[in-house]
Amino acid sequence: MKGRKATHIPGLDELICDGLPEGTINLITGPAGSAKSLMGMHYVYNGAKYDNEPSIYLTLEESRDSILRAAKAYGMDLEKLEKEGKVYLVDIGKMRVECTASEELEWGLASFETLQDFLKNHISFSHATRLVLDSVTAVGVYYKSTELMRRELFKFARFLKGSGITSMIISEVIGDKDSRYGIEEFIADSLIKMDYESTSGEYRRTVTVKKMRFTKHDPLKHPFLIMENGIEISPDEVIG
Amino acid sequence: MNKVKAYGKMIEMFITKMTSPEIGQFRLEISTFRIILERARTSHPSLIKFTLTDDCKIVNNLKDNEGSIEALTVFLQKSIDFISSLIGEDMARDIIASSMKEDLTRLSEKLRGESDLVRSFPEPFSTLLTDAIELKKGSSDHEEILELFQEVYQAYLKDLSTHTDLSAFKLKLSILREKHDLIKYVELNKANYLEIDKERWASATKNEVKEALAAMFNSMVGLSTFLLGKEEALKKATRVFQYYFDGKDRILENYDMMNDILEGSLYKKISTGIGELDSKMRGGIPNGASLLLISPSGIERDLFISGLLKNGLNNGSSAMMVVSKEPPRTIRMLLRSNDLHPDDLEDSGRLRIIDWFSWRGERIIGVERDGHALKSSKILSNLGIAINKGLRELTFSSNKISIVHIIGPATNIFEFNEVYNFVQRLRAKFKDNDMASIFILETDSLSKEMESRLLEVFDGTLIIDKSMEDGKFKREIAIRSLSGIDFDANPIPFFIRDNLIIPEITITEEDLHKKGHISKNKKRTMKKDTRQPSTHKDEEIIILSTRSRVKDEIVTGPKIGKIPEEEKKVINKKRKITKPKKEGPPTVKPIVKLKVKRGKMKKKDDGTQEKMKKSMDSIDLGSHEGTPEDILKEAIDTINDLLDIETDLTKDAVTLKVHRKKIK
Repeated sequence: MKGRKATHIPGLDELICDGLPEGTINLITGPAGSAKSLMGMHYVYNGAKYDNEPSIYLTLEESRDSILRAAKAYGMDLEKLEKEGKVYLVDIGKMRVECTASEELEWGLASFETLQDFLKNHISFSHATRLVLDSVTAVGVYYKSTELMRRELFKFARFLKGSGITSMIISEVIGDKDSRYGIEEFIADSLIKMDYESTSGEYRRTVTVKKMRFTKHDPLKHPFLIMENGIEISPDEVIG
Repeated sequence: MNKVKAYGKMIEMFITKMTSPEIGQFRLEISTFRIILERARTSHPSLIKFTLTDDCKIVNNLKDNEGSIEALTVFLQKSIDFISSLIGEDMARDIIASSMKEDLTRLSEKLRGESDLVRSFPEPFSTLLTDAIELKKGSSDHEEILELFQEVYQAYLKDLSTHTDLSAFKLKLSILREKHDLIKYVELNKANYLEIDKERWASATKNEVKEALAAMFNSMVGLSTFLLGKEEALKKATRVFQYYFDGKDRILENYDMMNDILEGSLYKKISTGIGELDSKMRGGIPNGASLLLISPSGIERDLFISGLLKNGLNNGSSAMMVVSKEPPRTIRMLLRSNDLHPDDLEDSGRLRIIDWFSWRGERIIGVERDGHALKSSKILSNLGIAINKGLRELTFSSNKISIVHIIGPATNIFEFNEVYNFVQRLRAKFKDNDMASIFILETDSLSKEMESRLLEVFDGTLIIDKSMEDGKFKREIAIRSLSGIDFDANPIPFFIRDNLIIPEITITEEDLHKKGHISKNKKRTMKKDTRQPSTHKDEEIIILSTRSRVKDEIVTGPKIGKIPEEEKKVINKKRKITKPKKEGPPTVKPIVKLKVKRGKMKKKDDGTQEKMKKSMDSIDLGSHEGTPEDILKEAIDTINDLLDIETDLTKDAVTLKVHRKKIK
């Protein structure tokens, strides 16, 4: 659809009027294990496969191999798309450790400035239109103060918007919060919260589009399943 | 192809044609177009990014797609305005249309589906391209509808060929040729294969195609109505149509064929499998309606559901069952015992079983697949997801039925409100899918207050009631509510025989007095049961008897009083319903026959009486249409006439039988 980046995740596009608005920053938040990274993988893989759009997946927490393996488990062969020049899976931490001798990168840490430098070159080289940053939480660790981190995040958000790329930024949260640093949701154009909850002795996965600029969206909480081909959201089912 | 490129290409073609020597005296120079482009830049600066080469190519350095289209539109409009100012608008239009006809036809292929973009083009390009797209669309769809029609016509003729000579259809076609030009290019060849010269049809308008095909369909059904009777002809047509039109609704809607061919009504109601109940519902369950069936658990409910499913599935419907009391394998066994083939039905996507039973015995995470069945874990949101998946997997068919048996078990686990909301959402989902649904609720499983709240959700309620009376089961089915329909609320008593629900109608003495069947001074009662054919359409004989079984007294004629046990057995044996035949589809037509038994008592020498051999006369009362009740009423009227003429018949017991006789 015009002006949209379809995620092609069953059920999600229905909730957000056919896709993420082009050029927006979309925050995916949730506790550990709530399938945030899987959603990011779908976004990159489906964009490259179905819309022929070069896409970048920047991983800071998980290793490249781990992402490739997880994607393959749900039928997404990212490696194949990488060879075709449609997907760029970059373990930014590892790359930095290999390329520089900077001491703070001993642990594979990266700042927003680093990411910006990398992306500036990579977007123009790859003509990528989709980006997943997994995760902003890992970048936050780089900063000694939250104030500094917030300032840098603002700058980074401005850069992303200027580049025209449609991004998913993954943020891990604890408890009922919408973001880790209390700022990500303000710089983002949308907030998709993934969660799980206990009900009748079972765990149920849920997704809620809490905010989405430039488009109508369904703000209700919907259940989703992880099936053999990954995430399947059920827009017809509502919780609460 | 990128639409900016397609647009640019069109303008390049335009400039090429306008600068080509073929255009004659109106030929322009490429430099003229360059001047137009340069001037256009003053009003639209982004055109600075465009240049025009000597070989009429446009070089576009503007990266923005929307901006490019806008700029190109300005340039094209200025060019057309310039040409119009030289030779006038009409001539400009004619020249563009004639010189670019082929190019625009080719381009229309690429711009199909881009109608908004095409409409935004300057005239005459917008109109010319829209026409070209419409023409393309029309001709390719003709091919689809013609192929579909050939298949349907062929299948229908094949079905009919077992009953009748097809030469009448050839004759009918030749008559139609005089009225419809297109039918001149249709032939029924020696092998009875319908040949259509599609090339001849390609240039016809949609409406012409629709009219010609509808005429052929209707004449085909009309002729077979003449040969087989309306009910049988329509039944055959429905069967064939439902099979071949499955998934082709886009084509049919495109030609608005549904109403013309099928008269709409064929698809609107779903039979319950019990004709008596259908007629009380004024035709069956409306498509998309959700009904609550309140029933005690037991064979009555199971037979009602299996009859409904059997009837629906045999008529091309697709069905979904949401089960909570037994596993899918038990459901499959139940279907098999009804001569259905669940495996085939599941393979073809016409049946889906949603299993909300297995979670009690095994660990199910979310929704799991087990063959074609979908197993859901306990929580209702997962059950909802499984149902959604099942709905998506069901193949298209005009009629869809779902049987949902979860309310009782769910209210034992979850709060009533949660179940209520879930049922409400489910009902909306089925309605969206135009699916008729029956939600089962065990009698007395909810408090009256809950039950009455639940009733609000549904479009109607059916009640099956079972009680003991004089040591025998008394069973009834009734409609308690049905929104928007003037239904008959009188309960239908029924009995069960050969795993079938057989409605029973008691005609009171008063009814018979009204009908004039017995005079007032005769103190007799007459009980009559109608053994309903709907659930077993292949049954050969349906008996509409004056008595359900021979009791201890003869109810008509002079032999009022006790009759010997032996005679009772003989009579009952003769009345035995013929077992359903398990061969092929139904090809039956009801013919009413009056059978008259005559038995006389002879006085022996020793003063005692002995029974003489009975004679049996059979009087054919002809063919009747309508529900069994209608048939019975008509037959009774006929008998009444006969009784008036042959008064001595009143001295004999009378049995009325409706034979469903095979047509040879």
